[in-house]
Amino acid sequence: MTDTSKRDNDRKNTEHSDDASYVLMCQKGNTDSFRVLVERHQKKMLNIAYRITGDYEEACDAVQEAFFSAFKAIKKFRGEATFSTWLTRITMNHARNRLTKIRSFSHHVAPSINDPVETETGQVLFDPPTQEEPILAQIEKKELQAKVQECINTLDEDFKEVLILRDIQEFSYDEIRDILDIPEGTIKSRLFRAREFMRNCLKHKLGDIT
Amino acid sequence: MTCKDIEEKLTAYQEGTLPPEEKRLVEEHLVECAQCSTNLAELEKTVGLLKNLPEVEPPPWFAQKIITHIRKSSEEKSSILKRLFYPFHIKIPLEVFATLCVVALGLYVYKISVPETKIYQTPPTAIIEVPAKDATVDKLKDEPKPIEPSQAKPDKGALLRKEQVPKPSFRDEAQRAPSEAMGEQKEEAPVAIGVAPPASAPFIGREKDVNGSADSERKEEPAKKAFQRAPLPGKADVQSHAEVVVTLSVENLASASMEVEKVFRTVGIAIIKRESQDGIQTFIVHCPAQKLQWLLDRLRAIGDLGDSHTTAGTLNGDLRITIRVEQR
Repeated sequence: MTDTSKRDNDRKNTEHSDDASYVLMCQKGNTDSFRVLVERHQKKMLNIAYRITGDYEEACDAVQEAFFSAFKAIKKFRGEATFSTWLTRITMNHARNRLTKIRSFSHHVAPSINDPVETETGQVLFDPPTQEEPILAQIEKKELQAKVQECINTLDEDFKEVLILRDIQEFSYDEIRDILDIPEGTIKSRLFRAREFMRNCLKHKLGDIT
Repeated sequence: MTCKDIEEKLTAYQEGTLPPEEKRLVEEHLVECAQCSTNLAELEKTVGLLKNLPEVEPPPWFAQKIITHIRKSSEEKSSILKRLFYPFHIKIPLEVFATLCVVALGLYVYKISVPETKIYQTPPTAIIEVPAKDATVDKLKDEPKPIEPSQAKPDKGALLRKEQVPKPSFRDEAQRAPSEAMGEQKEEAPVAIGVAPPASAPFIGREKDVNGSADSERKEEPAKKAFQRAPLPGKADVQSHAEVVVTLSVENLASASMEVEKVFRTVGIAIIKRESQDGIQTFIVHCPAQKLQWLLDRLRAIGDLGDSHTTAGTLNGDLRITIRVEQR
């Protein structure tokens, strides 16, 4: 184990023990303690929700609902998993619900001409990659990030969640197993398929990605 | 190891989770296969792009907004609880007091309503049947033919006796005059005609044994029993004196008048007034109510006793009797 990963583990352990003490105070009715937990985890939860929904406003609403649900249910929290894991699970549930609403709404919206097309065989065809040179590096970077997010949005939810938790949020396999409640083999399988899909998607969107 | 096999192991190779032997095989294949090397490069680029995605920042006051939302919801919940149950030290005593008031009111209503219920449920029985061995009663009930005045004589052993019970409920019973006895009374009417209205008929053959001793009553003077047998108007115990008016039609006015006077003297009835006008001889006498029936029987022996009427008042005590004797 490298020094960096050791430091990360030490930091995580310190956060977990701090979380536990604040959780204990919350369970005794101290609302101010929950503020500390909110401030500590809000950014991470917002990013998870944003990558799942692909919509900033929806992600904010989902995180707000998630913290409210966590506060209501905090007396039932037994500490079997870390507070971060428990909160992530709640946030992902709310984000999923938001995504379902978005998708049901988008059924009534005319598809964009930039949306990928699904063939009769189920293969997803993407628009040909643009050959235009970016005018500014910043715009190019944002476009690149937007296309990555578009590819993430087209992933099936099971694959998307594993990809976000592992490659974006860098959770360990144990943590992902606790959050999603699936075995490690399933996590690895889904991660492989998700990465393959992303590779193909980005190749279609960007051309040569090497 | 084929390219397909290598492709499936690339993710684990990236993660560094492959066993050393498999890792060596993959690395050897990657050196030889340009396509698999390209795939690995693309995969690493993809993961790199994902890891380098910028983190979005929460909006300003996001944590404050969340905490405010939580506190507002908690206060709404607690305010509903407060409205319902707080403060306990005021609401609980009030609720207990209200409950006690309701219980007390219910008990009071129950208590005052019970006696009324009893009155309606148990109507008074004021009449007691005379024992069946009384032959006269059986005769009166079974034989519809008129009773001759002689049958009402005391020596015939008439044992019928009626006694009024001074209860309002009993009076109501008498005034109602059960219809089943009406025909019976009408057929027996010659005994009482001109004296008592049919409403008194139900009392014939019935007895109220106040003292609980019917035998002792039978030992009384027969004449008295004969008078007591006479049916009386329904309102027999009204306190005011009643006036009875009877009409007697005779063949010979003079002789009949003499016989009437003789009857009065026999019994000891005082004549209050006597007048003769337009061929009608009128006697006004005061007579004890107990002797009324006996008197009427005597008059019936002299002539035809016609219709009569009785003014409102009691037939107990002295009666004012007006007897109009007229020629047929």
